[in-house]
Amino acid sequence: MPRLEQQLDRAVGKIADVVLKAAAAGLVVLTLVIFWQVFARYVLNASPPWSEAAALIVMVSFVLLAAAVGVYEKFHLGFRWLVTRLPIQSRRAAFVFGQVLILAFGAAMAFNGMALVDYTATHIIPTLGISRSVAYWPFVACGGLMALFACVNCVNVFLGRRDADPWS
Amino acid sequence: MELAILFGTFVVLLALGVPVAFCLGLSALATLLYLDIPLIVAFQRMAAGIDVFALLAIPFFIFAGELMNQSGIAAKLVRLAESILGRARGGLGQVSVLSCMMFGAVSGSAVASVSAMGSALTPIMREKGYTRDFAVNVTATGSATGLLIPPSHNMIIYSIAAGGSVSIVSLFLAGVLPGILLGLALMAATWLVAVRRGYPGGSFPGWRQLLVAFMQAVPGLLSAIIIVGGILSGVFTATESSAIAVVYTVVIAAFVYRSLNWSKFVTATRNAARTTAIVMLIIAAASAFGWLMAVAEVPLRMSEALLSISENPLVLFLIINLILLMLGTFMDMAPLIIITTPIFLPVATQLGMDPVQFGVVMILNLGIGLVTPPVGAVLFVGCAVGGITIEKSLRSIWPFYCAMLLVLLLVTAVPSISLGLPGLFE
Repeated sequence: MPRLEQQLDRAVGKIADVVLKAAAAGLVVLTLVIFWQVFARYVLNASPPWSEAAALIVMVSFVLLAAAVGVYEKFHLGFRWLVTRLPIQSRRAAFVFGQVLILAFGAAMAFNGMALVDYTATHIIPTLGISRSVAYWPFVACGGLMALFACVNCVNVFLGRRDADPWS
Repeated sequence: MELAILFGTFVVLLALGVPVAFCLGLSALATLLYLDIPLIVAFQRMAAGIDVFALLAIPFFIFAGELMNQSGIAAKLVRLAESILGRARGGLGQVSVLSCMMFGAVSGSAVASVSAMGSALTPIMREKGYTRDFAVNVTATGSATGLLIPPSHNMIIYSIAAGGSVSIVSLFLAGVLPGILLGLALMAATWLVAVRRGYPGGSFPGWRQLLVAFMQAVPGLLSAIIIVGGILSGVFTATESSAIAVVYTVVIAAFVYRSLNWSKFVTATRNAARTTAIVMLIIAAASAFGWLMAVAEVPLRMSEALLSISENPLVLFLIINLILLMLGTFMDMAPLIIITTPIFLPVATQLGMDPVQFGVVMILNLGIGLVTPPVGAVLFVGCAVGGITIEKSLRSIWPFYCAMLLVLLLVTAVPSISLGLPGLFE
């Protein structure tokens, strides 16, 4: 029977993997949208009016989803030169402190993202004919996922080996 | 007080190892709380910061670079460079610099370049008796040329940070000569080190081999021509040309070189999504941070402070260079471009420097920071690929730093190096 932190890590790892796959698919969709824009303009002689607005929404969505996964995979760039010189217990404390702040940031992003969704719910993007709130839903999702991943990172530090490097 | 909170929170969090994007976002939130401004403003600024059509080019350039990395196009460029420069003293070092210049031109990423070229060239250099530190130093510093030679997504970030008033096409053109000059200076440094260490030269493979290597590299090199040619001719925007470059790379890698399978494509896509997320989250958070800097009148105050030091433009440019070099050693390029452009660009233009030239000077400064500890992402990747410690690399990197600093001084002092080519196309 795997230990609790292993079960938790596996479950959250699966969520992170699915989210990253969705983000990668978003990048492919983005490429196709802009390629279609050029193709339609030069070959079909009819530039699609929706492509720019759609591309921006797709980009913001996939970037924020992948950015949330970055909290779990710890791939965001940071200045770790100083903390790597601290004793392991201080390093773990610094890591947990940072993750608590990221959790707070994620929660604030989800909460304020929801407020932006509410404010813009009735605004329509003319070229797409859909609500502008679509552009802010990724903030809600990203914020929520960031808070979840930061929380799991903290739990992993508390339940994991005491000598394990929290950034590895 | 708001400035102390903004910068104080940022520095403390950075020192504690909190990722840069969150340092920027959290310090913006702390300052908003102090100013009693609703926090929603920070997220509005973040959304507005990345809701920019020109920024779409960034994921595409990163994606194209990843696809080239995965499909082994780098190896074709190395073979061509080896056929051209292999016989020179310290030939493989020269090959490394030229390969980085060519790969920089097709991928636009210094990290992708050092990773691809380091993996391709370090084993060959070790086999021929070159030391690891030499291999790492040549590849890492050579990769900085890719930041200047178009396409460079950092130029796009600069254009946006400058309020969109600086043309991306002019910036791309302005980077060409400084990029070539940097490559030549690094080749000279490579030659000097090779002579001192007694590294041998190779042999010329013959014109036939050179032609074969050239023909094999042409499809890869064409992507750079598509991007720059497409933009210059007005056929595509920078964003469109970068998307075309992705589609073109997939087609040549899968059907011409036959080196891109589904698994490599998926890996490239996931890696590109990760790298894009790193850059774009920083841009989003830096937009909120930058807005608060504007509220606190930082650019104006900094401008007044700098202009009170001296009236001599060269002295002030040197001071700006020193500040950028120092900042570049601690932080990544994207946030620094967004934060420092509104501060230093008005000073530079007031002193008579063209915004396009200043963009090149800034990218070069921050590029040197990328190969300098304690952060220096490119040097870190180079050392990881080359299997040596940063300390070992630093013991012998000085000739290459000198070459880079010399080019920085030249680009700062001689405007025509960066402005000559854009001037021809106006």
